[in-house]
Amino acid sequence: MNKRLLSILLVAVFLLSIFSLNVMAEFPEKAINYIVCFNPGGESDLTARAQQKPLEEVFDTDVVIQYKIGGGGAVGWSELVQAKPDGYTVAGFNLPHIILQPLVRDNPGYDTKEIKPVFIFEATPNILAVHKDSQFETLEEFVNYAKENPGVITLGGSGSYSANHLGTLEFNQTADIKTTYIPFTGSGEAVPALLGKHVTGLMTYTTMGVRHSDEMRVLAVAAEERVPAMPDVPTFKELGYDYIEGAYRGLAAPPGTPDDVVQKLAEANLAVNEMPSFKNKLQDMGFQIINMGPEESEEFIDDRITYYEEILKEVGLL
Amino acid sequence: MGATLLSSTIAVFSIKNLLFMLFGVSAGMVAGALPGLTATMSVALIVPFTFTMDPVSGMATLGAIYCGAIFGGAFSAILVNTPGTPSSIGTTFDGYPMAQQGKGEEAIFTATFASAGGGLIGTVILIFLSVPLARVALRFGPPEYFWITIFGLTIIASLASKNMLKGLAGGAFGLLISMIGIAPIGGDVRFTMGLPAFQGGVQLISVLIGFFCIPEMLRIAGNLTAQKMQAVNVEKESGVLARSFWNVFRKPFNFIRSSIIGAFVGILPGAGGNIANLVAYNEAQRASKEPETFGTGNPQGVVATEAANNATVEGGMVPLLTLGIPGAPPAAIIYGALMLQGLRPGPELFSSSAHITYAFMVSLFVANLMMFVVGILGGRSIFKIVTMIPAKILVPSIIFLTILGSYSIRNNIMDVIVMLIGGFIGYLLKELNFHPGPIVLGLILGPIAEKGLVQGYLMGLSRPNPWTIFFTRPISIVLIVIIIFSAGWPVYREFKSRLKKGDN
Amino acid sequence: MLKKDGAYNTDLIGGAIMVLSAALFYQQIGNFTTFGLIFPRAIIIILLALGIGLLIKSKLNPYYAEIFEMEEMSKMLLIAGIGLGWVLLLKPVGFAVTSFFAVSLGIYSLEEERTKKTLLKDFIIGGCEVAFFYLIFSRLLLVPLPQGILF
Repeated sequence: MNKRLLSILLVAVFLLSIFSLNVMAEFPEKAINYIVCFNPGGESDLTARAQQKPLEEVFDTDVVIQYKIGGGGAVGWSELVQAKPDGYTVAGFNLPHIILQPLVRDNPGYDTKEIKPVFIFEATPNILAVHKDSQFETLEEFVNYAKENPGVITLGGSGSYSANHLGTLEFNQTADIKTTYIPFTGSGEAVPALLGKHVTGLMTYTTMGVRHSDEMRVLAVAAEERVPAMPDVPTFKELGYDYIEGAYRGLAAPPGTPDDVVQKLAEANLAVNEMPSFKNKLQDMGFQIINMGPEESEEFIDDRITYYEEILKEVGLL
Repeated sequence: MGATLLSSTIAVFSIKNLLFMLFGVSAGMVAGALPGLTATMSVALIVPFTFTMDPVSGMATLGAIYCGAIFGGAFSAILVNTPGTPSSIGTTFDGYPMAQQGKGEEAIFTATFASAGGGLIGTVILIFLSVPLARVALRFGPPEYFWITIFGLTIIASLASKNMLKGLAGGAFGLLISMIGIAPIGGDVRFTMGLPAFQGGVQLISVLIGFFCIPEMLRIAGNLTAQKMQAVNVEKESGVLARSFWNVFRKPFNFIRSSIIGAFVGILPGAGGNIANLVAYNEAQRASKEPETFGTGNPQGVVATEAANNATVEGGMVPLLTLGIPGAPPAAIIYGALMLQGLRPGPELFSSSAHITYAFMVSLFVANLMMFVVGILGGRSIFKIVTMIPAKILVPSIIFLTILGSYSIRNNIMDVIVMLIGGFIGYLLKELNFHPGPIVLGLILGPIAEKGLVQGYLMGLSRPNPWTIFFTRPISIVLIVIIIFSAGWPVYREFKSRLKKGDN
Repeated sequence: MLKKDGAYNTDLIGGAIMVLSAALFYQQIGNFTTFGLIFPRAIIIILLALGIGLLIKSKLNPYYAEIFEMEEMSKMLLIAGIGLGWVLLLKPVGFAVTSFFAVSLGIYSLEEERTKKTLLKDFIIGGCEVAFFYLIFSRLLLVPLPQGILF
C-alpha cells in the first residue's frame, strides 16, 4: 500500500515538474496583464503606454494595460501581491510610494517587501518651479526670500507622502527655510494652481517642467546631474544644496514569482529601454532612463526604506 | 487662422477619417449606453489602436468616441433610469418619467438633438474663444473651487424643494460617503472599515448604478403586470421626430444656455464634467415658467442635461489645447495619446502644429453632426429592441449588465458588491422619499469641496486669519453672491406661492 | 408613531438612518492628521444635526408613506436574493457560471407560470445571453472576468 502511494506521488511530482518546466521554458505564452495604478494621462500611464508596443514586440504576445486606480496606488498594489505569481500579472510600481504607504498607513493592503521588483526603468526628479512672471529668477533669490519670510511661500505638489511632499520637507531642512506644502491630487491639478498664481511655486516632476516650459521657470532640479531635456537648469547639488529626490518607476511582480520569469521580464525591460525610439521619446518628455535589474532594485529599495524611516522620524511624522 | 481652418477642414473630410469618426461615434454611443463603461474608459480602450494612425485620424477617432460616449449615457438613463455615464445623471430626472409615460422615443430623440446641438455650440466656443476662456479658467484656484461646490450643493434646494430636510440630509450623506478613502490633504486612510479596496474610495459609477438602477429593477420585479400594461402604451404616433426637434429648438434659450454652462464647467480643470448637467438642469428649472413639472417628464429637462454634458467635451479641450491642462479625465487620456504621438499641447499647438489642432476641432464638429444621424437611427433601434423585450427577461439582463459594468471599472469585486448594497440602500432611501440626486451630488462634490477647503486654508496660512482668503478674492466674492441668490431663489419662490395662496 | 394606517413614518426612519450613519462614521475616526480631520468632523456634525432635525419633524409634522408597496413582494425579494447571491458567488465560483445560473433563475422567478418548459426556455435564454457578453468582454475587450473554481 505504501509503495503504491509512494510511486503515485513520484509520478505526480515528475509530471508536475515537467509541466511547470514547460510553462517556464516558454514564458510568455499568453497575454500579459500590465496593471497601471494611477490615472490615465499621468506619468505612470504614459510610461506604460510607451512601453506597450515595444514589450509586445520583445515578447511576441499581447500586453494588456489594466487600470486599478485608488489610494495613491495602494489599491492596485494590494491586488498585485495577491495575484498569481506566474509572471502574467505585473504592475507598475512607484518609489517612494510603496515604501511610504506601509510606513505611514495602518492597512494599505500590502507590505513593501511583498512587492517583488523586476526592474526600475525611469525616474522623474523633483524640480522647483515658479511662474515665468515670478520675482524669483534664481534659486538664491527664492531661498533668501524664504528666509526673510518664513511660512509665506506655498509650494504645490502631487500627493501626500509622495516624492514631492517628502522633497519639500527635505529641501526645507537642507536650506533651513520654512515653506508650506500644499498637496494636490496629481501633478495635473498642481500645475494650474501655479499657472493661475495661486501658489508661489511647485515642487513637481521634471515632466511637468518640460511640458510647461513656456509658462514656468525651473529654478533647480533635484538630480545628480542635469537632465538632458532641460540642459539650462542647474541641479540643487551644483548650487550647494544636498537635495536629491524624485519618483522612480519600475515593474513589479507578485511575491513568489519564479526567478527565471523575473529574469525574462527584466531582460525585456532592458531591451525596451535601449530602443532608441523609446529612449528618446521618454527623455524628450523629461524622464530619466534608469536601468536597474531585480537585485539592484531590491538593494535600492532597502536603502531607501532606511533613508525614509530616518527622515520621517526627524520631521516627526513617524 | 482662416487659411489653416480651411485646410484642416479639408483634411478631416477624407474618407478614411470620416469612417473612423463614424465608428468612433457609434462605438462610443454603445459604450456610453452600457452602465459601467464610462467615457473615460471607452477612450482609454481605443488609445492603443490609434498609435498606428496618423495624428489627425487618431485624435479624430478619440474625439468622436468621447462625444459618442457622453451622448450614449442618455440611452440607459432614459430607458432604465441608469446614467450610462455620470454626466447623464440629470437625464434620468425627466427622461425616465417620459419613458414611463410611453414617450421614450421622444425622449431619446430629444436627447439626440440636444446632445448634437450642444456639442456644436461647444465646438464653436472651442474654435473661437479658447484662448481668452483658458485665461479666465486659470484664475479659479482652491477657494473658488470650494465656492463652486457650495453652489453645486444649492442645487439640492431645487431638487428637493418639497423635502428640504431630507434633501439636505441626503446631500450630507453623500458627502459622508465621499470621504471614504485617502484624505486628499494629509494622506490619512479614512473610513475604509479595514478593507484595502476602500482606499480608493467608493466608486462613483458603482453608487450611481446602485442608486438609480437597482431600485427600479426591484420595483419592476414586484410590479410585473403593471409594467406589461405600460409597454403596450408606447406611442404609435408619427411626428415624434419633429416634436423632439422642436423640443430643442423651439425654446432656444434653454438649449443655448445649457450648452454654454456645459462648456464653461468643462473648461474648469478641477470640476470635471459631471456636475455640468445638474447645474444646467437647475438653471433650466429656475428659468422655466412651470418649474414644478421638472422631474415629472418635462422634455426641457432632458434638453438641458444633454446639451450641457456634450458641450463639456469641447469645453474640456479648451485648457488642454491652450495650456496643456486637461479639463476632464477623457481629455487627459487624449492628451496622453497626443504626447505619445510626439505632439506637445500648449502654444506650440497653435503655431507649428496648428493644422493638427484645428483639424481636431473640426473633427469634433463633424462628429457632432454625425451624432444627429447615428443617434436617431441607433436610438430608434435601441428603443424598439428594449421595448420588445418582456420585463421578466429585461430585469435580470439589466442586472447582469450592471454587474459586468461595475466590475469593468477596475476589475475589483468590491465595486460590484458596493453597487448592489448601494442599490438596496438606495431603494430603501427612495421609498422613504429621499431623492437620489442630492446624495449623488454630495458624493461627486465631496472631494472637490474638501480639496478646495483645505488647500485654500493652506494658501491662507501666511495671513493672521487663514480663513479670510475665502472672502477676499474677486472671483470668490462673485461666486458667493451667486450662491446667495441661488440658495435664496427656491425659498423666495415658496414664499411667493404661499403669498398667492394667502390672497385667495 | 412609526406606523399609521399601514404607512410608515418616513421622517422617523430616515432620521434614524442619518443619525446612525453619522455615529458609525464618528466611531471610525482613527488618528487623523489635523487636515484630514477638518472636513469629516464638519460633515458628521452637519449630518447629525440634520438627522436630529428629521427626528424632530417626525414628531411634529411627519410624512407618512407606504413603503415597498407592490403587487408581488415575493418576486422582488427573489430578485434581490438572487442578486445578492450572484454578487457574493462571482469570485469564488467564477463569472460565467454564476451569471448563467443567476440570469436564468432570475428570468424563471419572474415568470407568471413556472413550469419545467419555462425553466428550460429560461436557461437557454440565460445561456445565450451570458455566453454572448462573456465572449465580447473577455475575448474582444480583454477584460479579465473573475475566475473561481469554475470559469
